[in-house]
Amino acid sequence: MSETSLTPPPAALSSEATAQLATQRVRQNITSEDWLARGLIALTGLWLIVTVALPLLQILWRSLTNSAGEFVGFENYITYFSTPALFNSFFNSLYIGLASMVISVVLGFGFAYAITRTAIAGKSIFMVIAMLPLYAPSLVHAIALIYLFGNQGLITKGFFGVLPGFDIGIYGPTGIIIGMVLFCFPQAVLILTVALSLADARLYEASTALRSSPFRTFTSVTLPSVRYGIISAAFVCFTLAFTDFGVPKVVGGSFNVLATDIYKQVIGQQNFVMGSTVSILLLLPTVLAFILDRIAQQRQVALLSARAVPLQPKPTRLLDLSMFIFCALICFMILATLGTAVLASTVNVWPYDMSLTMRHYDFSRVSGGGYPAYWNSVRMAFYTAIIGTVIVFISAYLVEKIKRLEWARSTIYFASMLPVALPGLVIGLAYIFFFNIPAFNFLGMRVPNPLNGLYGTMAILVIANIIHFYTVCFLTASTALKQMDAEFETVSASMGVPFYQTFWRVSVPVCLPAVLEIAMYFFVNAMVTVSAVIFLYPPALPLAAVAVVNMDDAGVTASAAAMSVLIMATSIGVRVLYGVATWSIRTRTQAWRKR
Amino acid sequence: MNASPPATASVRHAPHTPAPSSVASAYLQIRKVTKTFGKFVALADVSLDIEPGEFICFLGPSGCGKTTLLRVIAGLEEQNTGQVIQNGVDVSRLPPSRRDFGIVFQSYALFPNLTAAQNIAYGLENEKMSRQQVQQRVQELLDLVGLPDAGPKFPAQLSGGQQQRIALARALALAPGLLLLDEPLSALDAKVRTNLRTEITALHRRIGVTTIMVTHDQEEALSMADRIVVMDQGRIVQIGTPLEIYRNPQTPFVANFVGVMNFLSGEIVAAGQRVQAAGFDLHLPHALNGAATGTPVQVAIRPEDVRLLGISNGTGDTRMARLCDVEFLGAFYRVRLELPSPTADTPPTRMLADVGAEAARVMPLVSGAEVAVQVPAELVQVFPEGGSA
Ligand SMILES: Nc1ncnc2c1ncn2[C@@H]1O[C@H](COP(=O)(O)OP(=O)(O)OP(=O)(O)O)[C@@H](O)[C@H]1O
Ligand SMILES: [Mg+2]
Repeated sequence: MSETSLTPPPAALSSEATAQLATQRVRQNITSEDWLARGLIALTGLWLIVTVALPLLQILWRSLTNSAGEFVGFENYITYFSTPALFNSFFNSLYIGLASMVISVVLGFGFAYAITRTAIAGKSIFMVIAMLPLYAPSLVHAIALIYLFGNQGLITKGFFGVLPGFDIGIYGPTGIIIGMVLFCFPQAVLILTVALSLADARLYEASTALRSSPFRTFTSVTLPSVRYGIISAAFVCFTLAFTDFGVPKVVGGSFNVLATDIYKQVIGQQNFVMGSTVSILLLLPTVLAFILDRIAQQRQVALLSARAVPLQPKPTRLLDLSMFIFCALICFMILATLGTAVLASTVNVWPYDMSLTMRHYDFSRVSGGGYPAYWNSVRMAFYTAIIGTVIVFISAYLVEKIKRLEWARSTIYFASMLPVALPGLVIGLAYIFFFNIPAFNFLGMRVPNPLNGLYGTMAILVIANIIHFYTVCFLTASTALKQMDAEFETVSASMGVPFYQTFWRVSVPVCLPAVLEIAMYFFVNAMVTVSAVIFLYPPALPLAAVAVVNMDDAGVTASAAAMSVLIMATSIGVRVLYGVATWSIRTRTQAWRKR
Repeated sequence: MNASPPATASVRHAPHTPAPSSVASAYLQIRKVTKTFGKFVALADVSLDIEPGEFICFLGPSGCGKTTLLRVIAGLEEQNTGQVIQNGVDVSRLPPSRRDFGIVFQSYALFPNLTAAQNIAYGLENEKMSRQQVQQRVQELLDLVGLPDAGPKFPAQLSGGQQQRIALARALALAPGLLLLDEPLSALDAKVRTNLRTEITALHRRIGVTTIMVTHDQEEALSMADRIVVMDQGRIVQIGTPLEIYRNPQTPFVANFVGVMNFLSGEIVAAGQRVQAAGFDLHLPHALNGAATGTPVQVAIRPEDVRLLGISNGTGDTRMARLCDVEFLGAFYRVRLELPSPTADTPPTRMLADVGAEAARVMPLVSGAEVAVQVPAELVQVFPEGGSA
């Protein structure tokens, strides 16, 4: 063919023009809309720098200085490890974390397996009961354990002498681990039910066709398919148990752990330097676990192909019966502990005078803050839910949907994953350091801290809560956004509609169920948390969950139980409200979801 | 076509009609566009002119860069180098929102929380139009795509084919100068697909908007396009009308990708006019320029051009073959043939022949039978050996 007449060969172009074409990379013009997106991405970055990076650097720096603020290298760490009283608690914490992790994951796996893979009756009831501990501060379990197994406990005393009593030695590691397991169990169940419900029936059919024994099927199909779920659950449970403060505070007795040490150093001895040293030690294992979990999750390929057939569990008599008994036992224990707390708050003197009374709900004669503290907590949880949801959803949107500034978006993504590894106490202490400093010494210059004004206000409590629970919410938002067609933004751009308009008219309405879920999660967790706020709340702003700690400390345990019940009732109330709201959204405004 | 242009050019003998390339009147000009993803070259020096009102199909195997080229035209990807000129204006540096196009995706990408009418009106609401004008325009578009009553329905209440029509209406709402379709039919059932195919062509004829459609379905491209752009590995291999692409593929790749093609290995026996391949001895009607005697070649012939005869007529273009099996395909039979090898150490050559239902009535097709096969010399294409088949 006589090609030459069609397209001139490259040599026909002047060498100058060719060189220009080869070197000049085409860049699209930047519009005002792009500037807006860039500005928002910059703001998100700034927010994470101020709330995560700088406070963490502060606490790290503090652990390398002495009380006068002079750099001393690793001296504090050397002191720590050469003081047996201190460094014992590092191993105590590791022991508690690992033991609680193993027990919670094993029990959680059994429970999740029963829910997803067997045909037992009453699954939804079991699931509701298993989730109840999420709506209570971790202290509640500990308080209830003392009412049951403590020195004056119901079981220790043999049910008012009816039965021979026995003492399981609740004060110390036994009590801490039981309390932790109750506290971590629902988290393990949540993660593992999701992992187990993503099963491909075809694999099981193939396994049956090959005449594999049920045990072989379990080890060769079930376990491998959920190993990343197990790793995730292990990470979450370890982090919770390793860093929790409430349970060891109440039942720990003389058994010291890192979390209670930090509290003692900071609140008891005002030793901020040692407090931050212990904080870093608390942080290291959780960050390590976080990195391991990240590596594992990245290896996870899409196990579930688009054509996977959901598994329909078939009834098997013996398995179903034993699983039913197992679930019933677990639920009984959860209900027994929570029920004990409720009951203890409504009787005169546990366990001697079991006549009913509401007097423990009158907080006027006890310390802790009473009803004002309760309302402060509700306000704080409400602000956290509203502001946190807005920030999380917008930043997840920017990361998922804006096509520019790749590096900035992946940095923001990483920084948004990090808070899950930060113990609440560490966040609290880091915030004290960062926000309490009137001015920074920056290369010899005095730069006043513009955020100093936030110290001791509601705002700092809200920020601490948002960061403490940031990662789970961010992941919820980005999963919901990922499920939307990637071309919505493209189509809008082709019609000249700016991204913010599409965000408001399409993304938010379509993701509304996820948005509500995020808000609910923020509210409930802000309501029950102790660790993130215990260093930060000012005297003028007492909080309900902290009041539980203080009342328990002061020996008015029944009032502490009463306050816990109020917190639980509020959280569960909000959860029910969320259920009703999503239900009515699904049936009304989201008519489009149905065919 | 840049893979081995000189060799192809020298042996191609079929007449070539040059594509319209009057640069001055072109609506869309793509000039030397290159796009890389990291080290991977997705588009290598692509140039293309599109006339106003044309219906163009980008055709090629998966991963050849069709979507990437479409996205560069829309500004959804930034090319590394090169220009996109639309309607005489260099739009290379304009973001998508400043360009003039409507786009439809395989996934429809309809907003699920808005009704069909709201979807179509989505872009109109940012224009300076009264509510009434918007409503009127929406109804016009609904009528245009043949769904006058679908306005109040949500996407989930519409079938796949209906959703795609709404997506089309939405893309046309702002009366764009250029309509881009990225595999708009691939998510649909075969039946709906053929229906919508004819409707899109009819719609294009009615409103005359310059249209580019990406597809990897050759049948779709052949039936819909004014011109087809065949792509392979980030390059344009051939541009031409469907007939040109089908009848005169310029490389074995195109020949193989569009339609079915038999390839017979052979060599040139008399410079410029005679080739021998798989035992056939063909006198070519057109001279092959500059190909020396002894050059190894591939002789290509479409199954429908192969003739089966009751008895051999004794000419060089006819041979005896064994009929291996027959596949009934409705309007015609596809026959698998085995040509015994002239020498014992080479395996027999296999080829396909399509026999019309009419012809099959005259000559019964029996598996295992010996038949005479004719390869008409005026219908073959000759490619140099070693081209990417
Ligand atoms: N964002 C990207 N990053 C890296 N590689 C990409 C990207 N987009 C496309 N590619 C690569 O560029 C090549 C061309 O992609 P393109 O989507 O244009 O193919 P296509 O011809 O449309 O194929 P298909 O028929 O499968 O849609 C592919 O190999 C693809 O993997
Ligand atoms: Mg494509």
